[in-house]
Amino acid sequence: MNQFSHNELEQIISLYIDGELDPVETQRLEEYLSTHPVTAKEVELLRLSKRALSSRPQLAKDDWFWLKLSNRIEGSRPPRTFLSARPAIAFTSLAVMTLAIVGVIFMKDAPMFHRYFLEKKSQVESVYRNNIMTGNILPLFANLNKDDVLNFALFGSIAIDTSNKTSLQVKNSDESGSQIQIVRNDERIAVPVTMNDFADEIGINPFQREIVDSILGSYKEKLQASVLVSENDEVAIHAELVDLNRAMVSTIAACLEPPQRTKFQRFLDTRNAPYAVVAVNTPRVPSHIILNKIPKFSSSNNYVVISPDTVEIAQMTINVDSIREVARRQEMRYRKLMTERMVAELTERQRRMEENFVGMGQNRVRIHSSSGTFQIHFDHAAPAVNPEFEMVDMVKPRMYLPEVPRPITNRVTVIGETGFSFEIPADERTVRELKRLPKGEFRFEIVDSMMREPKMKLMFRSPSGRRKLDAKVRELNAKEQNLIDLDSLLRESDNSPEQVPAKPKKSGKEIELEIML
Amino acid sequence: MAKPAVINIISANTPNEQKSDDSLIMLFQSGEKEVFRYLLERYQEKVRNVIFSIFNDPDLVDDIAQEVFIKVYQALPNFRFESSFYTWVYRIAVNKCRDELRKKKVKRFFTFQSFESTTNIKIENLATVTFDDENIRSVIEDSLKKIPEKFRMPIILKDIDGMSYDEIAEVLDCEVGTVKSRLSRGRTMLKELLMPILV
Repeated sequence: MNQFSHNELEQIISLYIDGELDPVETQRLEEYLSTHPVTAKEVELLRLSKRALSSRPQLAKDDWFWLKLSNRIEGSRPPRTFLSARPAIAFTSLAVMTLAIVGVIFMKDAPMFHRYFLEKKSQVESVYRNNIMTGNILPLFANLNKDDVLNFALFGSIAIDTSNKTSLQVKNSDESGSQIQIVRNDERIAVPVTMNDFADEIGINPFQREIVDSILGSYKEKLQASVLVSENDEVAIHAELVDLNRAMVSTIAACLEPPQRTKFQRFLDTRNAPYAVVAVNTPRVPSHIILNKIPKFSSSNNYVVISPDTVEIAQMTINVDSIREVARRQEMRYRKLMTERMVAELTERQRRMEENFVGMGQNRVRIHSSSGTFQIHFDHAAPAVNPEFEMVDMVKPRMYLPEVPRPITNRVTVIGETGFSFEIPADERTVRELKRLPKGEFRFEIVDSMMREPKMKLMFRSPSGRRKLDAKVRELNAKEQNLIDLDSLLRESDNSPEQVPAKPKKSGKEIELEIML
Repeated sequence: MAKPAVINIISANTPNEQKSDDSLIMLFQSGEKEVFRYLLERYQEKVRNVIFSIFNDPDLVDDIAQEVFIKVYQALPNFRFESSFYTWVYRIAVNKCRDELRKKKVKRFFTFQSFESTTNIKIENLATVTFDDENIRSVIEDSLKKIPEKFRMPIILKDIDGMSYDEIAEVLDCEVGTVKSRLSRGRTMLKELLMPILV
């Protein structure tokens, strides 16, 4: 019969549950256990504890760890004006101090106590507000280049994550208020425009290009500080962001000569940009005025701060140097990481609250989220970015994009009689209609368009005026533009009286299509 | 326990993510400080979890883990490849935790009589417990915390981190026999704590 000393049994059981006991000893122990049920129960208990500990939930990987550590290693952590201490600690210590002081004063003089209390209360509130975002705070748009800024100016949209088509968009309107929204799976992300495209198409000279570069550079800083993401899942969005692209496009237009401004207007039109240049004939604003009047970044700013549970309007003090420093060190993967966290956090909010709002001055700021979209809505138009140098009349909102993007699933190539071709985005119904078109010779022209409606009419018409339209299409083909903008065709057509017939012929060959865009 | 150094040929074409620990350390020692990030990415999760296992307090983890990696960063130029980087980092982490425990004067003396549990869970069949019931796990973790650090550390490294006896000996800087004996003593203490509650 197997017998073990107490110490020997302890050791052997420990090796046994680790699977480290040799076969001979294992057999010996198992025989022992079969006749000693109490020890067998103890062994089962140790197995249970081993299983419990080995399957213990692990801490998730901290994606911010490297960033935090590198800050400490480099010893270049940004000043605490930006990275603040825990608000609860600051709040509590100030409150305790206030109460102590107030107690003493109250004994002496009650009115004085009242005044003192109010002062301290406002100080405490100020501390709280200044500490609303805690931990590492990083600018979402730290690594912007000038093309990114140009695209934001032109389209009010900036790609946050191209891999899942997530973008931040701003819309400003006097009538319906203004909005900042984050849209996922955005099919409408515009084809990016480069500075070279812009310069070539508008025909700006090198000096003007330098001015535009300076304008973009100045606004880039504002854009970088406009969306901040904190480690504790708070997002702060500058209230002026909603007006930033209007200010930029307006300033760019101001530095152009009138003929260039006409081209700029066409440039914006053909790309369905949200603003149109209206002051085409206004003389160019001298460059020194433009450059002197571009608003510098002010260190104290109103932000809409969205935390997992609250929305606040907070005046935050931003250290621009720290943003530059972070921008220098921040890598793309952190931007992607922050984007994922921010978008996940913002869209998650819809589960917790459908809508909430806060007041900012006389305006109301409402937060909505729906499937794939997060929206901050200002009930009134956003405050002008640059009231001192306001060129309100230079540009105006051109058209509004539909609230919910309508996916366009098809592109149809239409081939004309002379071999020209163009592509149009088309829904299923349009595809069916186009397939029914008679084979052989046919002509087409856009004869009507309702600019503010997502609908256009195409009509196949009589031969008059055909030549010029064909020529226009050929010219576009020569530029290797695969996608012809229907708006621009329409305008060309409208501007050429000889091209538009008095009345379209009502013949059997006329086919009218409505294309939903 | 000295381990022969493994010198890998560092290919310039191999991405840093795929380089071995030793290759990255050699690059670091030759001045490419930025490769430290790749080492950190590999081990931060393990180190944070071992700290979490010891203190069971998520609020402490980040500060201590940062101090561990700062120490690693500072000591890495003198790393002599005598042990694996993995066990070396663990040793620094465990020593740091011990320092913290001393600083905080967290001295837990194990006494059977001092254990008063309000939990009273009786399990009929120990082999079929699935830990869906968090109470059972927390009873076990609470009991583990009551074991003196000297006996608790090997259990954490063995049962939570899945280290071998040799690795634990390297981390704790002791003989393998000592590890086995501390493990068996620690488990006996754990068993004595758990028996009145769970069985």
